[in-house]
Amino acid sequence: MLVLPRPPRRAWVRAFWIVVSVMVGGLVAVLAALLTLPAPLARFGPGPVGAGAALVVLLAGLLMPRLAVLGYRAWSKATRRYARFAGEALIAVWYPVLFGAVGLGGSALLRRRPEPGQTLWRAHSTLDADTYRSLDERPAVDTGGWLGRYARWAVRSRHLWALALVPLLALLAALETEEPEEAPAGIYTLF
Amino acid sequence: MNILGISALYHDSAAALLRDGRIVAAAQEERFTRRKGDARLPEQAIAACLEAGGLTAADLDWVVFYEKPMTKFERLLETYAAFAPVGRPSFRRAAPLWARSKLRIPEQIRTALGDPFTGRLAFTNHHESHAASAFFPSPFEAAAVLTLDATGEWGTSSIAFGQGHRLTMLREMRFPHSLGMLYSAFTAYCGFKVNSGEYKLMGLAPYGEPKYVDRILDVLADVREDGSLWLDLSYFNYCQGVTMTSEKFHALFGGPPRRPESWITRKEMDLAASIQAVCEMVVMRAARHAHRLTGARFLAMAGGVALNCVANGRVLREGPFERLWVQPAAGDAGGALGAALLVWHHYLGQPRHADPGDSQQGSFLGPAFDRDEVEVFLDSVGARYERFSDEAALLDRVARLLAAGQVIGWFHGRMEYGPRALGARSIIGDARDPEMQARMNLKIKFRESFRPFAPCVLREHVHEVVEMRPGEDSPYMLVVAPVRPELRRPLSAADLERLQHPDLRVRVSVPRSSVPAVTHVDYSARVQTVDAERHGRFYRLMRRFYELTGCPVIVNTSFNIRGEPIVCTPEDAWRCFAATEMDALVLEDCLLLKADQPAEAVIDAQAYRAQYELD
Repeated sequence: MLVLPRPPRRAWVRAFWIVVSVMVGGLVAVLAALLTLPAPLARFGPGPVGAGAALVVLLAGLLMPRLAVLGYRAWSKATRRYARFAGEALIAVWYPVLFGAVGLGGSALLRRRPEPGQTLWRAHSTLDADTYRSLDERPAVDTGGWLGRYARWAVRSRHLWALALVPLLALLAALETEEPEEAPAGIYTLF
Repeated sequence: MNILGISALYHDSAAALLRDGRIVAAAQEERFTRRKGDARLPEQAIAACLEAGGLTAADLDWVVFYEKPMTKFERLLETYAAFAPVGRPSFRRAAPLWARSKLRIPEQIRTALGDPFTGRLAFTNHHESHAASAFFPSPFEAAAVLTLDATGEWGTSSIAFGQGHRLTMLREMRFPHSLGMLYSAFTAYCGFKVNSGEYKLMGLAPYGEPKYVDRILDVLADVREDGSLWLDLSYFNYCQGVTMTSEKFHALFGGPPRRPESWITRKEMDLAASIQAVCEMVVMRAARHAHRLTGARFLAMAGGVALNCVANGRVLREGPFERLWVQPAAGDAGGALGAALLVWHHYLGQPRHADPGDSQQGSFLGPAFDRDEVEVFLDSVGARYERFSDEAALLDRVARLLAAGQVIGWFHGRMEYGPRALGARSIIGDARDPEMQARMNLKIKFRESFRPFAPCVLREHVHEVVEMRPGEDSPYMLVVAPVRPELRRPLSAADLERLQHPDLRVRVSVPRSSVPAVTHVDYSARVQTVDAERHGRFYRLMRRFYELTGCPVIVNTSFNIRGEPIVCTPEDAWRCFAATEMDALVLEDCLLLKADQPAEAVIDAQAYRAQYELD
């Protein structure tokens, strides 16, 4: 999903309109190949017809810039709405199924009140220096792209189920419509 | 060997540069971007550190990130799993952020540094970074180290023992049980912003009665004898939601959270007093536990809760330790320095020699601007100023302005690292003036007036002003001490009546001592000691003021307005000066008087304030 930046700038609008022209041309060419064209057009064949359509759309946008801006804004609005909806829908399905199932297996969080007299301080030792090159607390040298590191972490930490999150994370990243906020105001986020 | 430490992508990002173990520079990103608590990768702070060291990215041997991102992610997933199917809105916000940014920290760092960087990347543990930032720069050869904050990866507090160049972690308390989270929950409930309003809550506490302490301890938090605590999560919402507190919490305290900027009632004051009392109790118990575990004579502290200078003051006065040192950048910004120090001492095994003062250099670790740069800027904006080539003449003039009740913007030397202005980017005034507090608050800082200002005290006189030992150090404004009884002012019947007034501005206007601008309603003061070695020109200014007035105290507050990061450049200082009712501005050797400035130089205060979100 291509979410366009806001507010529109001239260069972005032009680029957008060129893409729209090419796509319209391609679509017309495909339709021309599938359907029977009227006689005056049939002699050109699908390719030239598609190219002609692309040229017409391109010229329309260049001669009437407002048309291109309107198209840009309409696309931007529609994709944002779609992205928001799709993101919500993805999470609505994925989150309870995946986390619900994992949660049934227990949690590393201490939620029940400990016995009186029991301390909540845990023995904790200094990290070994050979963990410094790793993004988690296990000895490793983390190199390569994020996906490889993620997969190695999932194996090392025995969170193999977290691999099922990769498609969701990738889709959510692709569906993100704005620059992500670092943290919502007013809370200490977990993240 | 050049090591760059980075803390980022949570809140208040920062960078710190070490060369052969010595701190060359450190700064928070917010000062450059002018966005309070800026959490983005600190590209400008990194550039400033490299410039201060005369380096490029190619010269860096190590770049160290202050925490383990994948361990934090692990905690995040475990938490969602524990609360699922609840937690979707929080996950909806978190997941794209992780997917696009936080799982790609190595790539982001390498992109920020560019192709020339060929050094190694390292990742330390959040609380180890805090502990390192507390111990390694401290003046102690050996010390217990206590870190307390909201949360890192899993840890929320830790106890360690530092000796020489080694830091041995001993104990850790784990998420979700956290003193920082508990304090922040009350901060949010009282209508202040989490991550910045905690200071306001602490300042509000002396107005209230700790009448909710039993309720907190009986219902919300089970505080153990050793300072560990367990929280009943049904009263909180931070694990699974996007607020701090749950409806059950609101019911426990009789209603919804206070709306930000609305009237502060007795209830908020009492809640503030109560959670402050609980916080002090936990810190005291944890400190005693750290003492029992380590047997150390000294204590070093860091983590956001270590900015609670009231609790620190109690540890110093009542605790089992002889001395206390708190990292001035105790929050996450300080993690950048700690991470770099960990690699130097721990990974590389380099020795450490404790500096008898400390090696934090007064926390003056940010950028500085020379006389020429200042003058070029002032000329470019058409400012009218007087340039002093003789420092003594400048200081005499400024001291006389102070004594005449003028409020002065003071900009000199390297910018401070950490949340406090310590005499490099400060607004200063005469602490004896009973109107000073209200004037600074309302006409210059544009903020709530219940908060007292900090006194800067000549170190050799500190015992005459507050209940501290002669010559005792508090150079980072991280300890609160009682004002000496002989300086306290007896209260009349009318004063006592005004001290019960619902409007806190009326209460705070009652002079409590001979230095009313810096004395809180409970006769406490957040002290910064000023000495010749650390503070140089600022010390000499205070000496001159003392010679003129016999008063070793001045008011010191950060050079900014509410919601604005502390000024960094001469331009930032000029704009703040031009938009507020400051009477004078000292930019290095140049003195600017507000009355002399051309009319077109005045910046509309409303427009200036509108740039900054209220904190």
